[in-house]
Amino acid sequence: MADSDYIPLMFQAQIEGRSQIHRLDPGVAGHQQQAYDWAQQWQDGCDAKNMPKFSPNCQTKDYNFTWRMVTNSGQDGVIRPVIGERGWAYYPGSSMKGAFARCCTLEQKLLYCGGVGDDGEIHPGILRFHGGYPKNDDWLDDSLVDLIHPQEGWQLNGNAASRRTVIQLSLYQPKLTFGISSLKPLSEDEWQQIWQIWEKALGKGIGSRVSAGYGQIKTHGATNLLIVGLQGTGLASKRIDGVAEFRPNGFKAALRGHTKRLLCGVTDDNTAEKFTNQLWGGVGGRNGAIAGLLGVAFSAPNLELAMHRSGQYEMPIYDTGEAVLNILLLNQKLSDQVFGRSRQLSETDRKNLKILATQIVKFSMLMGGFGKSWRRIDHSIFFPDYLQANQNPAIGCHWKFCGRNWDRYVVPVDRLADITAFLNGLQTKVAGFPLLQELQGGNPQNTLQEAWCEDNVQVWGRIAEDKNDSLAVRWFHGNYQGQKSIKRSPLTGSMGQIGRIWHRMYPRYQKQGEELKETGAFVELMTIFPNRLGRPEDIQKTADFLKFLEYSADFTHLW
Amino acid sequence: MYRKGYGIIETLAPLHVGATAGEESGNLNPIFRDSFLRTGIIPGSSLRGRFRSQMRLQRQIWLEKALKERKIDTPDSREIKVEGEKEPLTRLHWLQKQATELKIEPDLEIDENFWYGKTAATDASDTTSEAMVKFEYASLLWLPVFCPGQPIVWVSSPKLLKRYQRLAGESVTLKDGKKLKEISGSQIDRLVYSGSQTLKALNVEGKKKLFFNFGFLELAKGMTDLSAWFPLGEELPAVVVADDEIGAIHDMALYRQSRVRLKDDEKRVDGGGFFNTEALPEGTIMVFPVAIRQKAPQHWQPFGKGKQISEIYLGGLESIGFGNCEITLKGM
Repeated sequence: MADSDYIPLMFQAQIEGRSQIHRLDPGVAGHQQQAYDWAQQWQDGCDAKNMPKFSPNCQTKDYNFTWRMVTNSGQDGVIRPVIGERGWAYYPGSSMKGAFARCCTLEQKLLYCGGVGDDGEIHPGILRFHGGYPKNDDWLDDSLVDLIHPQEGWQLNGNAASRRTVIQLSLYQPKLTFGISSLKPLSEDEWQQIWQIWEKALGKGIGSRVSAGYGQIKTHGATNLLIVGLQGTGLASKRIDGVAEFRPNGFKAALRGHTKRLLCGVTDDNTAEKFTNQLWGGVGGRNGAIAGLLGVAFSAPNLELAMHRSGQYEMPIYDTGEAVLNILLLNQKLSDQVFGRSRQLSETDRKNLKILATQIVKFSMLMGGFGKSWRRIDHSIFFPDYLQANQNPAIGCHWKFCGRNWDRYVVPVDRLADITAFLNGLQTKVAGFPLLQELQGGNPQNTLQEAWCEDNVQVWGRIAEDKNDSLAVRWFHGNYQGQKSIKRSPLTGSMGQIGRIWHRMYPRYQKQGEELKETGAFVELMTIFPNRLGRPEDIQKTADFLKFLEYSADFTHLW
Repeated sequence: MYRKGYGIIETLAPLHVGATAGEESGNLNPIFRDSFLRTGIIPGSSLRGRFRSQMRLQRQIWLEKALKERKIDTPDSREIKVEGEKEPLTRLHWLQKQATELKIEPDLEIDENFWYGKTAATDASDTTSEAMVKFEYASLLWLPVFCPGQPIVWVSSPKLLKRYQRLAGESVTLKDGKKLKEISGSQIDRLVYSGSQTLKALNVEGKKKLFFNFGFLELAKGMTDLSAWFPLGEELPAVVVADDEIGAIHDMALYRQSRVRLKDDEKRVDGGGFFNTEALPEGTIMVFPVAIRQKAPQHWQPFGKGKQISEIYLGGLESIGFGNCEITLKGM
């Protein structure tokens, strides 16, 4: 081997065959990806035993991050944390000061962070922001290697080419110690106020990708738009090296996807795209990035991960336990790229946004779930035979509401027509959403595979008495009538091809007087986007199945 | 004529002493560099300025206390400017004026104008005075280099070691009883490519090597006792490289941030708000000489009586955690 082969990856050129650690090489086994070598080299070089110390006249506080956290260093062709003293990961003081300043009143900002005073001159603030270091060396392991896996085009339109995976490096559930000191001695009360401002900044999330759940702590204060108690089970994601990880960015993906589906059902594609970006953020085109209004944070203190084993299959599954999904209002400003002029949100805008976000959460929970395999019901709950008798992989997920305020998000179902009423109301609300009205979009173009338009989607439902009473789940694995089957058809989907049916067992809540009661029964829902293109026999297959639903089964056409 | 001493600086946070706009204006904010080796320095004027402001604060505190004892009402401590007869005075000037009227004078020990020279009044350029204490620039002695895949290594070069020898040669005694100054120049030159006893180098095909950004450096001279060259006692994992190499290695060790300024009210890049800052990393050891005029009637004790060590802030970007240093004064 030549000397040059021993050069640390950080100092190699980012070209083919040298150091391209952001690239997931499909021909290479998980933990042999170059990113792991990179992480290993960082680990070896870092002085892991000695946490960088803050000086004694520095006030410090520790905060736990509920999931991942990254502050992009802007080096090496990969998104990775900043490297600070003796190799430790570091949240820079400059970022800390910026985040802090954005949570100050004008007066506080001038006092603490400095700025132009009444005399027109620049004065320094009294605080020094020393940044944050991990509390211990737990972060220095393979968990650093993280995935970015955009698949909006795939999920909404079956566009396989839009799926790609790149690697980034981020800290997994770190505990960071932050340090602040003051030029002047301050009272205990004033320090408390300073830390409160810092907690407000943390509540908005710090670092990159905060709208997808990165850089979030448990509390969010005024940033909270909605607090949704959730409990879910299902199929967990895997890291590149095969280790299980529950990835809260799935919530944003689902909510963003539904937003776009719904918008494409009421306006033209361009307007839908623009408005989705306004709500959830978009990367920059020629006019720069759009800072989204909404973001998510997820905290599941009792999350459990386990392995599902059957036959040749071994896959991780999760049970979140009672958890909290926060929908955050991360931004107070409408973007000029969308509206042609930028303006602050009014109180009415905020109220309207809350209504819209509530509706999207309701819709997401009614029709499907979150995370991997969200289009199918959790087979371990509703079809355990499938997993026991056969040598089959785990499939699906199941989500229900829990905690306080769950009744705000529930769609109560006395009669199946309640769902029709909800879906009608939802479409009207989305179409009439005041900010969308301002954009004056055109008519739906119906080009998106999963656009939520009347002639593009059908919702079928029935009441299932209990968890053993799911009818449709068997149709995905066998014949639904005689020799007729939709198994492994373009309708149900397969590997490399997105299906056109969502299947959901929605817990049935009924109104009893003023109160909502969980009944133990379920509403079995099938959402179908019939194929308009493809081979004639496939289109026929879908038509046959829809006819079957109409005439033979006890499903009702709801929408 | 002069009593000589020296100071050792250990950086506890990144240290940025440089120009924000100057020979390289724009979005690159480099640190000041030595013109021969291209390694970081702290100009003597920056050191003096910092020491001066430290003492000025001491004097201000003394004046506040003295006036309070005379039951004089002092303005709110938050106020920077105070009402004067004609125009606003700085708080310190106000205090000083009151004190002069009452004929109370602080001890010379805390009079920054005495020790560091009197600054000229705007209308009288001949009111300056010569300083009692003189500083020369601080140069690197040891610079820590972090590189993934190998341990952190402190580097130095013969020229840097020789400067330290010139400043500390009299006061450092080696294990064999000799003084540091007795080490000959050629002996120092021979240290090139030798590592300290605590260094664990990479094993590249049987050879002891270290990676720096120009390639691999072989520790051809093996390991030597370098403890004499560490003024703070601990012999760190270290290597001596040639004078014509340290500049390039120095570039690799600097703490560099490519930064963007975000908008005040939105988490989005403020157009054009892109800039780079470099700083000496934490754990850098620097040395600077101090000369005190023989006629000084008292001891110079900038950190208070009997104190030789103090934490001090140097350079810019203090508010984002830069510049925290520990200074140890020796031979005063």
